[in-house]
Amino acid sequence: MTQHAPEASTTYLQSLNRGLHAAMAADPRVHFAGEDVLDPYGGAFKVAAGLSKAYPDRVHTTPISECMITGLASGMALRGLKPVIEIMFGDFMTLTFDQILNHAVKFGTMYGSSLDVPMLIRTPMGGRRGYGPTHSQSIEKHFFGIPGLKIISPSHVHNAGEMLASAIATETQPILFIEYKNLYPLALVNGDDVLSVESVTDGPYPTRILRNFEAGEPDIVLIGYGGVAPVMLEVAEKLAEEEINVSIVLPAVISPLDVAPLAREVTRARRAIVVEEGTQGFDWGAEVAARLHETLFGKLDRPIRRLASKPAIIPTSRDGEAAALIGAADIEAAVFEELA
Amino acid sequence: MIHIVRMPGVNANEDTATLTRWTVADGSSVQKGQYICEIETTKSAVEVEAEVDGFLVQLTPPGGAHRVGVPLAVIKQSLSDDHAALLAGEASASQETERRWTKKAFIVARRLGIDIEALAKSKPGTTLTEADVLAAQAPGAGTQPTQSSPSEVKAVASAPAATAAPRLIAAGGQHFERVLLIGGASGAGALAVEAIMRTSHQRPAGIIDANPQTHGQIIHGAPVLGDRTSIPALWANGQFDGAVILFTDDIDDRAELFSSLLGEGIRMTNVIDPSVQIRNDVRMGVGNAIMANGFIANGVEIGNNNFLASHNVIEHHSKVGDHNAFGPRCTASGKVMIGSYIRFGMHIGIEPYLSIGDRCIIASGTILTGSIAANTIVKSRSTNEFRKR
Repeated sequence: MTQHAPEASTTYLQSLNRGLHAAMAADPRVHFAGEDVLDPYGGAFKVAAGLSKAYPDRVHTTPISECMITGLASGMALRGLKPVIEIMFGDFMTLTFDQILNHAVKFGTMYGSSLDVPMLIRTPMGGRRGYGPTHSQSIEKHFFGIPGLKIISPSHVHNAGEMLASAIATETQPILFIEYKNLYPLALVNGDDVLSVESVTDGPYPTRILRNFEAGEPDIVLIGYGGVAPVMLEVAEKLAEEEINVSIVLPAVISPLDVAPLAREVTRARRAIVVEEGTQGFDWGAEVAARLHETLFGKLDRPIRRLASKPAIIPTSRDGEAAALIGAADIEAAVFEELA
Repeated sequence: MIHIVRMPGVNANEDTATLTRWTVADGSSVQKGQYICEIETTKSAVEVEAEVDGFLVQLTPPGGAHRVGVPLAVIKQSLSDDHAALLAGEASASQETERRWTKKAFIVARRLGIDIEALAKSKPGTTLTEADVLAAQAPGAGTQPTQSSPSEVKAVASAPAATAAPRLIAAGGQHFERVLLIGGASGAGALAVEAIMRTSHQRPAGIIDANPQTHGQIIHGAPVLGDRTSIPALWANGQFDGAVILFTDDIDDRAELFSSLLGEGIRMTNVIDPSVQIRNDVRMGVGNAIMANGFIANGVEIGNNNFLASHNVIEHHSKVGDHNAFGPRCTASGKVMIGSYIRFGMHIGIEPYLSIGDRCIIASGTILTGSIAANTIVKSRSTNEFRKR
């Protein structure tokens, strides 16, 4: 299945909401569960709006127990349903860890390889909304590399809703679907006057590349996913006026990592920066950089640069939060350092 | 007095808005407080009113998005008042604060060692672009940093346009290695200039050629600096960092020049087109030139002062001696032993484990299926006629 281009008149939030409606309409085995998900509230960020009205028997409000919700989903999946669960804030994913690592991803192998566990965990990560230390984090690094767990994190340059519906419909093993809070109000992007967009891989989870130039080669490649996409777009739009050719590579599946589409673009620029909103150290950028160095040894002008948020507790004050999280000014400064 | 109607900022989250329609016809009279147009942000539609009485002149048709503060119309006391000068003055006022160069222009200038301040002064009123900087770098351009006097170099004294390349800053802050290309201004030298320009660490310092008619010419941006007698002075003046020999017509001359240059303390370097693949555990001396699309497999040893034209393949664990010249598309299969002072034509194949002695000549198109003793000329029979059509 190849994705359709995102419709620019749709927000990321609307797209996801439509994706959930489409998934539930398409298959009666799809159930939805989470905290405060019933209408009229429709979940803390309204991604589930209208679901319980449309499918009252298949939308379940739960107690405040993320461990239980995840275990419930594993059981439903084992018994032939297709559960989709919402963890209200990504920060609370810590409470799901045992159910994912020691249970959901292992069932298929432990009890027979033909055993399907088609469950999807949705959760929003990220800050930039002033929610403070325990509701603003991007903690997906702790889930990277878990054997049997596929992590998908669309940006607003992806057709997020179609991607969500596709994952619910087709995946047979556990999926962690990471949304970003700062993307919810943004219109989906399919290119503009400055940036062109291209899907460079086929299938339901395409890697998208934006370029701020028409002819020639990129001076630098920015690689990222999820909530840093609009931050990188801001930088690329600005640098277009400075004649600095920027490619932004946005994979949708972030673990396990397919390095080939990234490497193809980096080969053109020979310089790249990996950007993520999670904290510095033992991060996604470390894996991306290591894999690119293995693939492109001897073909780079500069070592792959990693940018991430400060290894700090995220403050509640908006100024403090902006200083802690990776921002456009950090990326721009790094670009000039890499090109200097 | 002429009043400028500007796009108002009504949504704190946006710096543009769309002019949806004019509610007053172009050129008609308006009164203070009268609605003159409608704008729309992503949140709401807002009516804009005239701030003064007068005649309204529209500056833009409806339907377009404009940045906050951009003039949309002027209101003037008489339609015959000229508002062009006012708007032009506004444009030039904003230009004064404009940047004098793009960041890319700045980065490229720094890489090339060009004084961008001086360049900007030479082109007032424009924003310097990358193209401006590259044009300034072209040989003969006025803003190039001055070089040590060419009169110190005998051979180029009569050709002042040809000075060796400036010391350029490469990517990453290091200096480019400036390579002096010896021979073949009309052939292999031009090839080598191309190869060097594609690397991220070398740039041509200039070309040395025996033909005095080439002296002072610019070949692919590299100046022909003189004949070989000028090399020691160029080295003494610090005008190149390493040299490589590119002529292949006289192997003995090639070998003697290489030895004499080394004897004078001149550093010899390798020029390798970036499209050449060099695998692990390859050992190589100095003074070698390897042109486009070569393949040097793992474990290969290459001596000094060899010229490999394009598409040469030296397969794994083969050994190549010194002062050899390979035409295009020769292939040495695995573990081949190639001596020294050998001339290879083009399109030659050598089977594995064979050895070729010193001072052989192997003609084009030959497939060697057995080892060749030293001082042997091997001629293929490929020009034999088969039959008439």
